[in-house]
Amino acid sequence: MTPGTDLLLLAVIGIDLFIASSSRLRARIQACALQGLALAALPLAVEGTGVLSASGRVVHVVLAVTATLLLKAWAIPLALTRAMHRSGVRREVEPFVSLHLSLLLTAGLVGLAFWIGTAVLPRLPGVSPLGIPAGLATLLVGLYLTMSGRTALTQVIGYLVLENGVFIIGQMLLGEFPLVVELGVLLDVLVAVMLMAVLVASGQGIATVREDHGSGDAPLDAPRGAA
Amino acid sequence: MRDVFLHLALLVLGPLTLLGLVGRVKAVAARRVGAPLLQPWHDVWKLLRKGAVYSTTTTPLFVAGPIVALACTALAALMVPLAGVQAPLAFPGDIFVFAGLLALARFATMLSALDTGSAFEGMGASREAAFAAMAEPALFLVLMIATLPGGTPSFSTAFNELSGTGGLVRDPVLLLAALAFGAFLLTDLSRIPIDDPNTHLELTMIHEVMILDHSGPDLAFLHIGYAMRLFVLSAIGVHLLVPVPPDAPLAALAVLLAGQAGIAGFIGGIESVTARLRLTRVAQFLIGASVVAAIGVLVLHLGGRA
Repeated sequence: MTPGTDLLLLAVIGIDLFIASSSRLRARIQACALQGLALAALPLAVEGTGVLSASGRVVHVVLAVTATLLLKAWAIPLALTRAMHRSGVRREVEPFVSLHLSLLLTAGLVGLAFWIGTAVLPRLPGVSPLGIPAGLATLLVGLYLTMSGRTALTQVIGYLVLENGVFIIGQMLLGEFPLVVELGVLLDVLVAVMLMAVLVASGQGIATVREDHGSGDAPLDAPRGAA
Repeated sequence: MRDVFLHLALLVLGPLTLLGLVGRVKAVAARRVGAPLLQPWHDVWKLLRKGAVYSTTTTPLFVAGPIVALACTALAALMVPLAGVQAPLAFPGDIFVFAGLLALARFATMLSALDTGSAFEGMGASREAAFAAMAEPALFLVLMIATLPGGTPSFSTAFNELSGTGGLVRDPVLLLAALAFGAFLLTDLSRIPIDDPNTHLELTMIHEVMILDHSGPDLAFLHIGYAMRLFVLSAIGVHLLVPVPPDAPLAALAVLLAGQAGIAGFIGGIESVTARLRLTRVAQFLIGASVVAAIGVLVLHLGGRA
C-alpha cells in the first residue's frame, strides 16, 4: 500500500462527501472535475515507478491517463457547466433529502462500503486495502445521488460519481484493462453525459426531466412551451 | 526540570503573541496598517490595571466564570506536549481530562454569560453550547486517530508515536484528522466561518456576546484563557500535521513555532477571504467534520492499526 494511492483514494471519498453535502451545482461540477483529476492520477500512483521499467506499459498508461484526464476532468465538466448555464438552474432547490441527512447517509454508505470491502470480500494481495472500499463507497454514493437528485443535472452528476466508483474498482481489481475496453468505457460515459447535457439544456428536457422549476402544477409530460 | 520550565515559558509567552499574529495576518491581507503584533499584551495589561464593573443583577457566578475558565484552560494546557518533550502532566487518559477541562472552561463562561440576565448573552451561550456539542465528536474522533496507534490515550505517548512514524508524509489518515481538527479548531475558537470575532451585531455574535458584560481583570482573564486555548489547540494541530523530532529540542521548538505561525496564517487567511456560514449550515459543517474524522478511524481500522 503506497501513500500516494491512499491519499488519492481518500481524496476521492472526501469529494464524494462534498458533492453530497453541497447545494450549488457549480461546486458539485467542480468537485466532479477534481475527482476526475484524482482518478487520472490513480494509475500513476498504483503503478509507481514500475511503469518506466516495462517499455510496453508506458504507452498504455500514458494513453489511459490522458484520456481520463481529458474526459473526466475537462470535457464532461465543461459540458455540464454549459448545460447548467443554459438551463438556468444554479442550485438544488428543496432537495428530497435535506443536506444534513444527505451527509449522514453518505457517511453511512461509506461505512457500509468499508464493511463490505473488508468483511465480505477477501483481501487481495498487492492491492491497497483502501481500494475496494473506496471504489464501493464512490459507487454507492453515486447511486444515492442519482436517486435523490431532484434536477436532471444533479442526477447526471450522481451518475458520473457512480461511474468513477466503477472505474476505481476496475483499476484496483484488474490493474490493467485492455486499452480498448478502457477507452470504450470512457467514451460511453462521455456520450451518455453529452446526451443528458443536451437533454437538460433543451426546453423539452426541462419539462420532462426537471420538475421543480416554475412549472410546479403543469403536467409532467407536457412540453413547457405548449402551455 | 528544564522541560517543565520550557513548557511554562511557552505557555506564558506564546498565547497572546499568537493571537496578535492572527491579527497581523488579517491586517496584512486587508492591506491595513493594523494593530501591532503585541497588541493583545497591551490590551490585557490595560484591563488588568482597571477596576471591574458589576451589574446589580449578577451573582458570584459571574465573577467565578472567568477565573474557572482560565484555570481550567491553563490546567488543560499542561497536558499537551509543546516542543517534542513530555508534558508536565502526562498520564494514560489525559486526552479525556483535557477535553473535559476545555468543556468545563466553556461551561463556566456560559454560566457567567447567562448570569447577566441579558437576552443577547443567553442567545450567545445557547449557540456556543449547541456548536460545542456538535463539534465534540469531531474532537474525540481526531484524538482517536492520533492516539490509537500509540495504544495509550495520552497526548505524550501519541505524539511520540506520530513523530516516530513520520507524520503526514507517510500516513494519509492524518490528513483526514487534520481536516476535521481544523474544523473543530475554528468552531472551538469561535472564528469564521462559525462566528465572526469582528462582528458588531450582538444577534450574530457567539463568543464576543458572552463576554460583553465582563470588564477589567475578568475580561483580561477571558482573553488570556481564549489565547491559551488557541495556543494549545494549534500545538495539537501542528503535532498532527508535522512530525516533531523528539530528540532535538531546538528543532522541535522551531517546528512548533513555525507550525503555530502557519495555523495563525490559516485562521487569519480564512477570516480574510470568507464570510460567516449561515447558522443552519454550521451544523452541516460540523457533521461533515465528524464524518471525515470517522472515515479516518475506519481507514485506521482497515489498515489493521487499531
